[in-house]
Amino acid sequence: MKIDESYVARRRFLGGMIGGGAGALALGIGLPLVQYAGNLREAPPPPRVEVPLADGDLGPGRSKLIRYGSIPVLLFRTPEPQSELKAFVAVCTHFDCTVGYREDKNCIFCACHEGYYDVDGKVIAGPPPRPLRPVYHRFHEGRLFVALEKENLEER
Amino acid sequence: MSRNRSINKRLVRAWRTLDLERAASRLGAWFRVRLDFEPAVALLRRKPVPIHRHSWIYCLGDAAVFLFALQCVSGCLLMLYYQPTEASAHESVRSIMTEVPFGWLVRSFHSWGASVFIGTVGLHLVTVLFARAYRRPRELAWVSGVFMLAVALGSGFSGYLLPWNELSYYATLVGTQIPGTLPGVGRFIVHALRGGDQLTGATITRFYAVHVMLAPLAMILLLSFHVFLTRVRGLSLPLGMSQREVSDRRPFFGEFLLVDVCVWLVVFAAIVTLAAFVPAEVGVRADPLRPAPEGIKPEWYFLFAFQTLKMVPEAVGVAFFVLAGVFLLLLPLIDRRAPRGQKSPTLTALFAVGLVYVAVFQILAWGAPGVEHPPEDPQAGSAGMALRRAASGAWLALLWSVVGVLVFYLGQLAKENARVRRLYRDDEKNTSATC
Repeated sequence: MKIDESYVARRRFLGGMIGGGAGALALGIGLPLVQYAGNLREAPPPPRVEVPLADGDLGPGRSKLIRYGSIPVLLFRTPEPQSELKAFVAVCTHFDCTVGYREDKNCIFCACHEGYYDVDGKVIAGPPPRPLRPVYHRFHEGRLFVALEKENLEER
Repeated sequence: MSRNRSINKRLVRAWRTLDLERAASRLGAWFRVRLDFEPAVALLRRKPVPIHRHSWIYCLGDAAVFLFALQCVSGCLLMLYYQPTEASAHESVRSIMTEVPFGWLVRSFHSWGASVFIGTVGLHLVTVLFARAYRRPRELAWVSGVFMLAVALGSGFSGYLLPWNELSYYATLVGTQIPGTLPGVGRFIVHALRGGDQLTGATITRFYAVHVMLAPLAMILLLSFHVFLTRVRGLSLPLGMSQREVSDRRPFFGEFLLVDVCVWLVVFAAIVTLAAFVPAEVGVRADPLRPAPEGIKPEWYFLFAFQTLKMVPEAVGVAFFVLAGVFLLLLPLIDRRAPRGQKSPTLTALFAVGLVYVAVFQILAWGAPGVEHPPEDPQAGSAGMALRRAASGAWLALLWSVVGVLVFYLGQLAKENARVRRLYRDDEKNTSATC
């Protein structure tokens, strides 16, 4: 049996061309599909959201969760005497669980891994690494608005 | 200077010892010890493809398998965003087409892929009919194939409803009404298909379950059986062709599969091109309280049946299609001549008449005026649209060149492999002659 000497080289060349072509094709198909599956589009949160208020809502020691776009926001009023309305992004900085306000201890609590924040969003106990992100609020003509950026509340 | 050279030499030597083939074979050995897949591979290998003037027909079945796989992949991708409820089905399809990155391409690909799949399956069926490949001992492959045709048509029918637009709503309403004319069980079948008397969200849920789970599962089971049989029984020669007309028998792996892959690449690029130039429509949201628009049509592969049911009384039409299905299913038993190696002229005539009937009714239904489509994109014809067209044109040109390169070199590889095989074969012949 006799095979040309160039056989191996030719085989390598063929393998390179086919492998390279297949790689290019895989890249051309793969990249769009990664974008498709990852849904890489940013839907920015709204600049501000009006909080629907009912009677007795947000009295001293009361709290409520609202949606700010797709972000949960916690609103609560600290108990008397220094009653004050506070608002935070209700996403625990540890593993993204939704936090809640606990009137009995006057703090913010995450049940997933027992994280505690004080009413200013600072970590008191538990695993959370960072304080909660504050949310700004403003009463305007009897309506309550919240926003992630303070300047979005101003010119209303 | 000399030191540099020795480093170079060492680098070259290291590069030469980095042998991918050897690494692959060691990896293969590792798995072989643990899995013992030799018998399975041996079974898969058992498909020498006879080469003769009609051997292109052997590509059709493999192409259909490939297209089915493409539908599975693109369908899974669509499942990431589609919501099978009455309230959000249409909106989710609209969002796939307009908001999700490349969503329009994935959905259009799935829609065109379905058409090409059904077309390929139809062509496969026709070639098998005329080659009488269903004859003994391949009756079971034929029967499983007919069942797969039913599953494929069922997949198409159930998928057509999912965008929940006017066209799909009424096409499904009419389609699910058809079995209602069957005596006795008719009402029950209609009720079971729709999940109630009316076409509602319950129907979407049902059709979704069939489309993404039941039909693909049935297809995979039937397909495995079908492909297994082609390995056990091999490929048939068209009836009437003698062994002398077979110039060569190519092994499946290393030679025929490479040709298959070329066909697959071209088919893939063709579907992408169709999807880019003629994207699938979203249509108008289905509203049961609005009267049906004029010119409602089903998917193109049901057009001949649709036209038939228009022209004859419904009961007659339904009876005809049931009989046609039973005829197809029992064909290997009906054709008594094929196992003896004779072509029945009656059956050939019957197949031809069937084809002409499908073609004529298809054209009749095509020619009928359809529904007026609303303009899909208000920006169509604008500068931005033209730019998008041009960009997708450039991408398509790139895709086709890569496919061209691959097809050329895969062809070269197949030729090379065939040459080596012949060398070995001739060598064996010579040595056996001298011994």
